[in-house]
Amino acid sequence: MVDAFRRVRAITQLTMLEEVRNKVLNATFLFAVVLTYFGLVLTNLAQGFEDRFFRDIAFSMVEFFGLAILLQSAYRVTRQDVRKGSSVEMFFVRPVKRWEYLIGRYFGIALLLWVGMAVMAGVQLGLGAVKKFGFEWIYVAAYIEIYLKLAVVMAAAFLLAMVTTSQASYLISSLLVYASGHVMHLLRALIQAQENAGLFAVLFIKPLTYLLPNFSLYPTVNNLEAVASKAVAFALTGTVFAAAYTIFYGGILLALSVYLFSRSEVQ
Amino acid sequence: MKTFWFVPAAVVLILLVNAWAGHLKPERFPEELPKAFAATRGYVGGSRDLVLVGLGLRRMAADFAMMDMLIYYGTYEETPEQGHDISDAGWVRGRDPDSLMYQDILPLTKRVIGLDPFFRYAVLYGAGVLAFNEGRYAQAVELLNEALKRDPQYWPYNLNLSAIAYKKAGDFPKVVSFLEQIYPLPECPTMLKNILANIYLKIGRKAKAVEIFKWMAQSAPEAEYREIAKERLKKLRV
Repeated sequence: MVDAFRRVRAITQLTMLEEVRNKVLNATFLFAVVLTYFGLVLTNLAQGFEDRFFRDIAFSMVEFFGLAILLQSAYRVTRQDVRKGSSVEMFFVRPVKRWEYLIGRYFGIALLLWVGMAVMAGVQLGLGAVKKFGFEWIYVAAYIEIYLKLAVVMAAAFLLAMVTTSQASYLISSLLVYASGHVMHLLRALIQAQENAGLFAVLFIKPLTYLLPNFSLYPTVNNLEAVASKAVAFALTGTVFAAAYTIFYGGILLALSVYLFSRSEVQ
Repeated sequence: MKTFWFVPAAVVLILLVNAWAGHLKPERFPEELPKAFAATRGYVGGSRDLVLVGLGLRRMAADFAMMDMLIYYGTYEETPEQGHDISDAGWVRGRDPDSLMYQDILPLTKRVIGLDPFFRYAVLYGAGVLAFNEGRYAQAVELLNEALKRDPQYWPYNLNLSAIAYKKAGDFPKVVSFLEQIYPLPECPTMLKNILANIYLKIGRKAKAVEIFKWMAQSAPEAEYREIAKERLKKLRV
């Protein structure tokens, strides 16, 4: 088991080093450009709530660029490398099991995402400080929850990379899962609120809402002012709960990915 | 690992985890978003809201919706039946509530607070416009009451309700006493500050009005209000 852990750690480090320069630098550069544009130009339109607008754009872009990093990287390590038979061969000539390879890759991209988000958060806080927008401690919880949410998306992306047949279908299905995660709980509430919900809704849509991820468990970023002004109480247990959900839900998806990966043919 | 039961077992586990999560942490205001979408039915921004919410950018959707409202209210609108009376007397009287002007302020504000129930600036702005500029007191009260349901501890909503009641009754000193408490808040819209200054003038407290106009002329985020304040100061010979 210790050996397996060492191998997973080695793959994690390698994945991180392979990706960090290109992905993080590109994403951070684009992030800084977009944020500067919004921060300097578009905030003029948000008269009276400039700081809020800047902050919302910044958090949204951190999430958006984080999503871009992980979707790109997840596909590369699970499909492109395997298909081309390039880097994966270097792993499999050594005594590396397939689950170790996939788990190592997952944690490597998770680490990459962490570094990328930390750099982007630094850019955000730096630009915010220049504009004198202030800082609230609750931002830290918001960053953590965004990261946890993206970790779930990453596990879903690994699974979808296994079952889709092209990069286009992988990207579309990943984005659909990501988008539906933000509204599935609402759909469920709407079906429950309807007294005469249709048979189709009850038999097909409702179970689907329990199958797709539930991103309402990561609400801090949508309640920043409310939490800062104590209109909504912030509970650390909420973030712990979100972390537990990420571990369970993401863990099941990752286990499924490992299962499918172990059955797939590596050329 | 190569067993056929693995996939169904994983699906069952996912269902259980989601059921557990939904049971322990239900959505706080599940009816808010459908309300926001209903409020924008027929507007251009409705589909944009849907896309942004789907991408997890709910607050950004609220910000853009607020910008829509600012642009809407900042665009001069005049109907053939009702002229745009911008004189002092016209402001004090308030616009005819049956006027067809800016009829979409209420749905636009509801859209914003549906997207973000704690967007206090939007509520204060929308209610201020409806009550103090447009004379639609019932709509302003409806908006504030709705906001209070979500954010009951935010006392400026109650103060605003009181100010509206006194404005309706024409008791301006009382209106001032309530608006003065909202004035120092960072989320107090410049529009409300302008209203307070105008009421000061109306009740003869020129020094106080000048103080606000001076602040507006120098520090108001909106260029339009900076110009209005400069005009006022010129008119008051300050």
